[in-house]
Amino acid sequence: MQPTSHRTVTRNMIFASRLLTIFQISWIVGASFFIKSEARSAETPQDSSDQTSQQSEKVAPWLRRWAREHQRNNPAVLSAFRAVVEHAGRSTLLVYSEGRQVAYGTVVDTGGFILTKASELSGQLECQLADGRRIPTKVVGVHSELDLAMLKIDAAGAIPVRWQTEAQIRPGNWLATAGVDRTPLAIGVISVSARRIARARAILGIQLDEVSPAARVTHIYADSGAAAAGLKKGDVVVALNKNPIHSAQELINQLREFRPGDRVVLAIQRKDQEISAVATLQNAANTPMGQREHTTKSLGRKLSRRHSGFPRAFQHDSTLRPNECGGPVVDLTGRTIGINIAVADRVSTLALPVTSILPVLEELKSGKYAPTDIGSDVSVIRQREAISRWSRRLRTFRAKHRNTLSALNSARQLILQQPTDDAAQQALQRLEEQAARTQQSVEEAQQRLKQLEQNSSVELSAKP
Amino acid sequence: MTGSGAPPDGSEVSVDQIFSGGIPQNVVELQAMQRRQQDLADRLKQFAVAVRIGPAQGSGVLVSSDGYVLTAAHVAGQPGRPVLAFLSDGRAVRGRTLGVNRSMDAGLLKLDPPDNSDTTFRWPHAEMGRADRVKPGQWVMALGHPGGYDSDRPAVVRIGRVLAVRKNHIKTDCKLVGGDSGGPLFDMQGNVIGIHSRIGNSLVNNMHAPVDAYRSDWERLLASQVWGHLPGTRPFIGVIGDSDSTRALIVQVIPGGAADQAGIEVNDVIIEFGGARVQNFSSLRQLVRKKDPDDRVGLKVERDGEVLELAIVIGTGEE
Repeated sequence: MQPTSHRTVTRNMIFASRLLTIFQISWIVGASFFIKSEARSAETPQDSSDQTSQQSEKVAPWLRRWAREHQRNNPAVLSAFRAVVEHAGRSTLLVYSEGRQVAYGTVVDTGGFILTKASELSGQLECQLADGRRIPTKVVGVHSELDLAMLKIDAAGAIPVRWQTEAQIRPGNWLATAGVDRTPLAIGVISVSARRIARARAILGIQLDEVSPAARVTHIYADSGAAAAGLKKGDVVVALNKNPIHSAQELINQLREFRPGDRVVLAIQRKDQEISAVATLQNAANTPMGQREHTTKSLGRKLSRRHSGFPRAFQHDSTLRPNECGGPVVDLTGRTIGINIAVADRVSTLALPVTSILPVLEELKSGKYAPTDIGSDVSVIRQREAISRWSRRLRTFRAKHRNTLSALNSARQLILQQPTDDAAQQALQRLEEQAARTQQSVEEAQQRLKQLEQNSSVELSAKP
Repeated sequence: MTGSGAPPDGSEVSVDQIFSGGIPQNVVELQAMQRRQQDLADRLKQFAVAVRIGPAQGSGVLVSSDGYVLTAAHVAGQPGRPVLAFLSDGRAVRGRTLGVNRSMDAGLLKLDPPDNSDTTFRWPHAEMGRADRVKPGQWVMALGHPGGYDSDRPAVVRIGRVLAVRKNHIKTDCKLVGGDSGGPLFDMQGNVIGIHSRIGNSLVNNMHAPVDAYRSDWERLLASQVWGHLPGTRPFIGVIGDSDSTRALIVQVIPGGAADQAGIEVNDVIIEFGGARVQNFSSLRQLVRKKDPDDRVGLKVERDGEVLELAIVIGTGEE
């Protein structure tokens, strides 16, 4: 199939000057990520994890095979693993968040319990079943240290994975990541046995005034969580998730408790008003200084937002994307030895070993780890939005009510002067009814706001 | 499954066939491969070292009982520099850089014997294999210290295949990253065939200096000589286009270049490259720039009103 040259070369005059031109127009050293992460649509997982030759679907199949001829990820090599992922593949689902495919899910119970990577989830969740149906999914538990979320769907006949409890996690061992097709999503070998993966530092992306006794912002880094949250130079951070902040050091200390990817609610003193902002914390590596390091270590690969801080994880060399974590990893026996939890750098994919997962399985199902983490992150944002919406409404209703009352007063005075006017009597009655309605709106809005604020403080104080 | 021991049905014969460039067909063959992979990972890790030379963090591999270590030229830098090396058991030893062949990115260094060792001390070491026998499709194992030395982590194991063999490098899909430089690429018999050198845009562009470069210039390296300059990797297809045209019209094809070999002719209009639409010559240039040498790319050209599908292996600007 390989095309051969059928050109009779016109070996005409190519002089040095010409060659120079050729150089200028044809080569350029490029460090670009174009062909890496965007090409494969998140909506249509394909049968291979190779990241070079995922040109668009238009490419002829023979070309794709040819492009990967000698690669480990050649479709023929992947096929040898079909029997290995056969069972686990039936226990694997696609997880969607707000309509976007964000992770894979591992079925762990016939009752429709599914484990997945927590930090990729937000908003409305759905799971896609083997028949293509997407069904609403709720989060029943989140273990933020392991970055695992327990999902629950109402679907009969879920097939749980078979755990490998005598797993020998030895470097050099084959493993395969089950996808939703017959062919594995990826294959690889164990690179490093399970070990602790240190936590990355989480930052807001601000510089603080070192002289001021308060946590006063002196600089906001572009593209940081703080910039996205709308923080401005001169703002003073007075609370973090409702915990009062009195100094720069206090803010720094409290931020240590979080991980990159966590969302926090900041109370900001800006001139004479206090405002609230929700910011997503970033990896410290994403500062201008850390940026270069990040680019180097990720070259050719998009990394998971959270890829550090796991109590134990084994490292393997399978090529996955951030939205391909959460699914089962099997050894050659076909049993599940772990769950992919992060794309950590160009050379490493991390997976939680069975020994870390099994002890928390029942508790996650039981609701002991209620989803305060992602749940609250999302609901905090929603509640903040709702609070500001209802505050605006309340102001409008109050203004309307004031106007109605003043009209009502004028009307009453008119009637006192001309008590027999029927039309005036009717107008007065209408105004009284209107005033009752506006009063009711104001009261409802007040009540709604009170509720929202109560919920919000409960939610935040429940956060571990 | 036991990790070692003789295979039940003489499958070691077939496993060598697979490792030399074949494709495993089933789980039994995968298991046979796995036994070898485990054994090699276990045995070879003692030969891989992490090195610190000035600000550079890299890797290396012991290849002689008197402590010679192969590394990359860009890790060693220049001769006579002090080296701090970390062994697989966590011990740190000192050493010194020797010669560097920059054109192959080949560097040599020598470790001092560990403290408290007597004159009979011999370093455990890997054997140097033959890079000239390496073939595309062959299976290989990479060890190294990606990201620099980490006392919680032994040398990191990767398995891949040889994608191309070139004059000054072997290319594999063993993913490498900063810190791996200087680390060993092994064949599946456990011989060193290459030293990690550099990476390209994509995950399957990992280049290793062929071990033959060390062997053939061993005396010069021992003598702390420095020569050559570091190789580059510039994607290049060897065409000249008409930049005034609204389409990617080819006006010149370099004989013997990548485009020529792919069958591209003068007056062809390239309309698609790697699945992406090509508007004009400058957009073609952009697309080529995003590839790496040896990438295999499909393209569509329009010739005499017909659309042809061609395949091109991206070349380098230097070869």
